[in-house]
Order: sequence, then structure tokens, then C-alpha cells
Amino acid sequence: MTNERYLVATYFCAVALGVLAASGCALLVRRSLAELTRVCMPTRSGRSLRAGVPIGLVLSCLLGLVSVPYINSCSGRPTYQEVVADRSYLTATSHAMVAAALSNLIYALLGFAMLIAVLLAAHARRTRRRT
Amino acid sequence: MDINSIAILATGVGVLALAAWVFLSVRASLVALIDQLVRLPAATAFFSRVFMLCLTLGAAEKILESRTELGPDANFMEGVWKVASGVGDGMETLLILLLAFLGMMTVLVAVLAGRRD
Repeated sequence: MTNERYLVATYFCAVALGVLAASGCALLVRRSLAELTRVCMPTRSGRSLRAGVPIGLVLSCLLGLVSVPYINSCSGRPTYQEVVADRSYLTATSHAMVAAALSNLIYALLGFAMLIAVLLAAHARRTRRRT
Repeated sequence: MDINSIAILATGVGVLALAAWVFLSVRASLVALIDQLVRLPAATAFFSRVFMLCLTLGAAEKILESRTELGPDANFMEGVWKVASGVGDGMETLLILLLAFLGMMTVLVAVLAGRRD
């Protein structure tokens, strides 16, 4: 396999892996999130939150993937030819892409969990006022 | 199998085992706490799944970031130091995630328990 083909293969594998990880996370929290928003937020905003979480997870993952540059003058590879010439650099960069995607996914999950915590607090306040 | 592959494998096993240990140690009390605070099974499931996902993703991220470039004539202890360095990075990430999650739970306890009293 030539280095150019290797670059294409590792790049799209990294993107597929990142999107798969985000979709898996969205699937794992989907049911409990739907139940939570149904109880705490039985309005249209609850439905939009339910739809927004998977989109947010996939977008944050894609943001991490595209934030890692291949052509980097700081690492001594300012041209495409120099990037393609080094296979170990290609492997390391694709690893860095997936790592950045996973890191962004963690931030997004923690952000959504905080949002849900605020929602639960507001729900508890509402139910207390009613009783 | 060369020494680099063995070092990466050992780092991966170490970091994943640490993540599993942290999750299993905290999970029971976390579930009980959320159950007592919110009394919504969905909230318990959501927070425990997010916690598990964060730990797993953090461990996977550190495994991907760990790079070993030991030569073929590297000594055994050099490999051990590489593994220790990778596991140390993983521990740092797991600790930050644990603190972030416990901070969130503390805020939730402060808000909800205060209202209940």
C-alpha cells in the first residue's frame, strides 16, 4: 500500500471511528434521556433537547477530528509531500485525531450531564412549589 | 511481538483496568445517592451511563495518545518506564474526570438536599 493510500485509509477510518463512538454514546444515553426529558421537560424544548444531544455529540466529535492538522509547519512538515513521505507521522496523526475526537466527546457528555443536572434541580423546585 | 507493541498493550490493559476499578468502586454509592436525591430511575441510569462512558473514553484517549518509540535493543526497564508513564497519564485523566463528576454531584446534592430540608 502506498503512503498516499494509507493516508486516505487512516483518515477515513479515524472519521468513521469517531462518528461511531459518538453514535454509540448517543444510543447508550438515548432511552434514559428521553425518559428524563419526558418527566422534567414535557414541552417542545424537551423534545428539542432530546434531538439535540445526539447531534451535539456527533458535532463535537467531528470538531475534534478536524481540529488536528496534518500539514503543520511547526512539526517540520509544511508541504503535502513531506506529510505523505513519513508513514509513522501519518499513523501518529490519525491516532491524535481519534484522541481529540474522544476528548471532545467527553467534554460534550459532561456538558450535557451538567445541563440535565440543572434541569433536575429546576424540576425539583417546581414539584416542591406545587406540594 | 516487539517491545513497543507489548508496551502499548500493557498500557492499554493498565489504563482500562484502572477505569474499571474506579467505575466499580464508585458506581454503587453513586447510584444510591442519585436514587435518594432525585427518585427518578431514568436520572440514575443517565448519570451512571455518562460516568461509565466518560471513564471509558478517557482511558481510550490516553491509550491512543501513548506512543512508544523504543529501539529493538531497548532494555526491559525502559519498557516498564514507558508503561508507567502511559498509565500515569491515564490516572491523571481518570482523576480529573472523577473530580468533575463528583463536583457535579456535590452541586446537585447542595441544590436538591437544601430544598428538601
